[in-house]
Amino acid sequence: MKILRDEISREYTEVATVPARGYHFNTGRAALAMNGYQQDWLEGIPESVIVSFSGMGNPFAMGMPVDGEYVVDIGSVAGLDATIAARVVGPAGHAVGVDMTQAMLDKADAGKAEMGLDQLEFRHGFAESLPVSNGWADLVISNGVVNLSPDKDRVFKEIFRVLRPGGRIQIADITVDKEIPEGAKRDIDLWTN
Amino acid sequence: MAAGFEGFEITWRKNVFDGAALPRKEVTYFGTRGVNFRAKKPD
Repeated sequence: MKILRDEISREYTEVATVPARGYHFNTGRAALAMNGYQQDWLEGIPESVIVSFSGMGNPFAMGMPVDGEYVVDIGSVAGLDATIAARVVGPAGHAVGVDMTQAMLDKADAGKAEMGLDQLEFRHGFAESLPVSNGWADLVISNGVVNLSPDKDRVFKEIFRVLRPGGRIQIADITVDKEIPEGAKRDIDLWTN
Repeated sequence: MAAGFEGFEITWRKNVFDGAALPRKEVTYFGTRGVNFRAKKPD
């Protein structure tokens, strides 16, 4: 798992530091338009955060968090979804973004500082072992990250652990129409790229 | 769905790779799509 995590971090360090390089997935405003993000959600968010967005869908299309809720964003990259959530939940709520790539955490922290949102926080961690206490969250979101884990059962057990009873998940990710052959599952390039 | 969730529902599905700068043939071959899904931890 460490080799895979290192390779994924290397790829997403590129997305953090050279977002305009061009990838096999859409990034920034092109991806946001593709995924149905509303313009008013993005107003006032630093462009440095927006350009490194690399999500596969839109967790907020299934409903916005509400005032005072506690939200966890798994694989928060440069912090866009966590920032949107933090603004909506307001000072009575809290949004925690979790990511394993330091370059993304640095970028997210810089965006947070620019926006001055006390209810927004970014923590280093992994989807398989979230740095969040039991039953803390009202809502868990994620965007294009669960597919990167080789242990998805553990990821969902972790999500279940950090949610309060009655808590929700709203996740964007990818699916495939065909069974992935074992050889392809062992191709680290297909996991990361 | 794993881990005891209820009410699992896929609400949206789309080829979010369309127009990417460096398209990969595997995306087309495997029919890879972006999805939104939701579920709930029981009360």
